[in-house]
Amino acid sequence: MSDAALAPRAQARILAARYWACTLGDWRTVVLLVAQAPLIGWFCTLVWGSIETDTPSLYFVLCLSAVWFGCINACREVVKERAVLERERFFGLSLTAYIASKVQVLAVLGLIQVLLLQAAVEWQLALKGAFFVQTLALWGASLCGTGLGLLVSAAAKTQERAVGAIPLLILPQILFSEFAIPREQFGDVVTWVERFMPVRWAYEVFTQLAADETAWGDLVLAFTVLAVQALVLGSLAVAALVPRRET
Amino acid sequence: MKKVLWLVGLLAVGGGGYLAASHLSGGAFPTLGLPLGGDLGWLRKTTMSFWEDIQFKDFERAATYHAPDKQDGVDIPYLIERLFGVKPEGLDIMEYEIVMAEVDSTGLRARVKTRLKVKLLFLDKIKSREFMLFFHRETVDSPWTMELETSLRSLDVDEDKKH
Repeated sequence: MSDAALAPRAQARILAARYWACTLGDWRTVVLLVAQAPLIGWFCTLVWGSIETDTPSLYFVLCLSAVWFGCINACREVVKERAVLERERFFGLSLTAYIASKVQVLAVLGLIQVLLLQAAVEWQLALKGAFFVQTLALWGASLCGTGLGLLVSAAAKTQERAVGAIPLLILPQILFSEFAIPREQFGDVVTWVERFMPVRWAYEVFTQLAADETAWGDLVLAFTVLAVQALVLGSLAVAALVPRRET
Repeated sequence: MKKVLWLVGLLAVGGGGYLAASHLSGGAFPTLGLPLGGDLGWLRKTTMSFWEDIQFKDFERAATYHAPDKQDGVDIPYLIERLFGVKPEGLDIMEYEIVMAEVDSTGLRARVKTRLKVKLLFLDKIKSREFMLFFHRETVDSPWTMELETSLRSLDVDEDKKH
């Protein structure tokens, strides 16, 4: 290991600048990723526009979409450059700085996506609740999705396997939710597992904002859980990179 | 310098994009006081203004959105009492927003769906309600007028018809 390795914060800055350059260099992929957000929003307006009002199921779809965006943005981002990563580790690359640089860029991409998703829906149909609080919830869900995607990307051996694992991350968000069966009928295990689903907490924000009387405590709790989940998933992604891998 | 130019360029594109979206969506996004959004933008603004008048119990001004010849015949306090089941002084309109706005194919009729969050003061209860306000105009160049009674009044039973 090099003694002249930069501090993690400086490394993160340089790595982020490099990642920005790589991301913007592949602008077609960026356009594809960004464009899917307003498209999904438009699909939502086609469905909910016909009843001219928002419903809890719309909130759930929006939150699920945000997690999906985060997952799909991040799931290939580590595994595709694993060889470069392993080589740079010999020269003192900080894994935390590496993941932080990814999060830095993907967080901006996620924010643009959730804003476009929301704008596409609000274009036709105003949602109950404050726009920017909802943006924050969707962004939190997107960051959790990014954490999940980076974790998968760090653990997967090939890009194909990483992308193939995405349904395993998304489907439980639907299965362990009140849209599968009513919440009163949840078993103990389902109730326990549901607490770990980012969609559940982002959805909680939406339902609280739409309620006649918002329970502010529950709202703060939902945001806190989203932040903690994003942080834990990012840390797990770092941990998944610790074992060196031959490439 | 290059970074500053990039930033200015990005802000210009972002701001322009926002204003374009605001106009094309018919004022679905705040227009920052600019006359954007065409007919739909005007309808949204008028509807918000109408609910603000109701919120501050300025019923005289609220009636002015109706056609001039019908303004005197509109009893808004009575209509509100019928809708919410409380007298206007017992009603606090806390929030109001536009859900959607639509102009028909002829361009002569429009409807604006609004969402209200109200507090029934005597009952100490908060409720959300949605209302549809209807507008019409004689020609596409005439000004829009609200059909207040159609919008706010519950339907009277027609005794001559079967129900």
